[in-house]
Amino acid sequence: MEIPVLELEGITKIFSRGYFKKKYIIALENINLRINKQDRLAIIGESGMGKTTLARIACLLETPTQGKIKWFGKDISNVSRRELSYLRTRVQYVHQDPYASLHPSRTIYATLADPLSRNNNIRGKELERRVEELLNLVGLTPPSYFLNKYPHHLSGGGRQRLAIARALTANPEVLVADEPISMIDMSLRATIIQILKILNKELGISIILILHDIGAARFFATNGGKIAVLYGGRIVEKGECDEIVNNPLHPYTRTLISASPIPDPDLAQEKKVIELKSYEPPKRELGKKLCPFSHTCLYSQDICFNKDPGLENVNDKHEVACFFWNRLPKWIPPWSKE
Amino acid sequence: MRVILSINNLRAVYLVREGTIKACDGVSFDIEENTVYAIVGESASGKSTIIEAMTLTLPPNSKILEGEVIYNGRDLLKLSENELRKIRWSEIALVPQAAQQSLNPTMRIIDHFFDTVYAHHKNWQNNEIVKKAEELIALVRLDPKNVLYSFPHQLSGGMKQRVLIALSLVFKPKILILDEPTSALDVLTQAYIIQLLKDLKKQLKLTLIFVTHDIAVAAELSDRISVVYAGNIVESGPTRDVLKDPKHPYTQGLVNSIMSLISDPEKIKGIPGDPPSLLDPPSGCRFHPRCTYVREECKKEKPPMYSLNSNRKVACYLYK
Repeated sequence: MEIPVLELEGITKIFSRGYFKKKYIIALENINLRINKQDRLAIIGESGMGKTTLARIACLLETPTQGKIKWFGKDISNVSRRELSYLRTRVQYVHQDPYASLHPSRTIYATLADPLSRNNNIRGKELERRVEELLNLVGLTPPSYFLNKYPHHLSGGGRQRLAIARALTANPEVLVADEPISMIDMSLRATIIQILKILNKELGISIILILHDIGAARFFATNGGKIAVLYGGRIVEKGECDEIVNNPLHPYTRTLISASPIPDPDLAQEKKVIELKSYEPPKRELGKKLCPFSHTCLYSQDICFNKDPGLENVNDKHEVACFFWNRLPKWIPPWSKE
Repeated sequence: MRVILSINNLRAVYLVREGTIKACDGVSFDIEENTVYAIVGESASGKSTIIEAMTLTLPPNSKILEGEVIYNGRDLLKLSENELRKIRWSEIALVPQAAQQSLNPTMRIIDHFFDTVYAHHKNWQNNEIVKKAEELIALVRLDPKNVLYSFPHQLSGGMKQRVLIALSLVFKPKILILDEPTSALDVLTQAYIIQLLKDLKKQLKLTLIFVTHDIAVAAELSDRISVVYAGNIVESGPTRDVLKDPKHPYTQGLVNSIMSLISDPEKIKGIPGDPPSLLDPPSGCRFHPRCTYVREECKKEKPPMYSLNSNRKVACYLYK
């Protein structure tokens, strides 16, 4: 079997707050993920569901309370510091806010050339050639025009391209991007996702993309990518993108799909958004077993409040964490005319 | 239908150290009674400036150069502060952007209602105000007993947005203007607010004007739409027609860049290039550096609005 480039086993993260009166916040609970080479995975969910924490843990920017992280088949807690510092270059992170993640007083050339020469041990003409190559790759063309510019000369989209180029200077095998399009103009969002798709296809980089918009996730992961839906710190549904979008089985995924706005006025008029019992945030308590969605779910019964539904295989492309997935009404897209 | 608000050739600029930002450059449109009008554009395209200029709520470093905003036969821009006060909130109400920051963090929600009523010199009794507030909070589907006596930080983003909508309805305005009512909200809350606005419009016979960057939200909510690019309206018409058959190259690009669940993933494509700076906008048509159909005349002179039929207008030489 192929060794996954990144594997998470039973990851749980609990934040504690306060000193005398400790308050615990369960950010993630028992997350299992396997990313193979050249995989595309979109993780979706609303704010506060643990998406960013998951991305940060996968990149070792945060230590999990429990669980194992494996990079390239090696358990991260057992590798030497020397090896870890090499491995860290293999997994790169793209931050959410390109207005904060770039150094304002360094030119675009300096932003890219320094890490390039450090990681690849190249200088002079070769270095310049590599910088131009990277700029071409992310669509900052012509490169010569951008070399001596500063980040403030670029728009949000341009900055995010530069941030992606910077992540590529280490020739990573895995790229984790945390909501890279949320601060970018509408007309440029599709372009950024397109770049990530090209990197995945042509350079074979595995990409984990955190998003809140299921439409964008579908655009990214369609044709062979995967989608994982997070709710209340757990993965409630996971599988091939087209399978999830066309046949969602978890009530939360269904609600998300029905709430996603569609740009067709005729269909939008007919569309019915699934109404929930309440709009309260997910219930999470230490040591209590329940489905985090139970209090708002339309189909919840006693068992949902007392037992934890683990991820169950529907078929080899689809997993869902719901006791009633095979008893829910048949899925009809809310915009279909039937 | 009767035109309730009509904006003619509105021009506003911001004065900053580097020069003048031409954020609203000759904007005209008419709003019919009891319809929903959407103004769609990217960030920094001047869409918020248009409604701030229309309601005279621009920041101090700005200036309205020319134009008229006709409401009930009177030009709002020429009214005195006193006369304006009678129209503001009672007839035209504005829900500002970022509802999260528009509420006073040291005041309970009910105090915002008192404050608003006192500020408009209405001699209402206090118990009347409380009654009205409870009614309105229930109308936006919140629990009055709970919400009215909470502080803003105890409410979620979606709840604050709904509180502001309730607050804007205190004097039964005819026109409700919303600046980005759904941005910064989660998908489920966004769908909820859209549904709420649709219902309110029907129940209270409101005229809604709203600004958004998300063309899919405009599709769900609006009857008519104007697409703004770099301070100019480039296309306007009934939402259905504009989205099904966009005419202006920018609108076409915008429609193709929507990543919704019903669009064909093969056809989704961003618009190449970057939005221009409004400090020094491109000559002629402001979209010409990014346009694939660019011609010589586009670079020289700004295209006027060409009428395609009685409802649709587009500012592009392709339709001369």
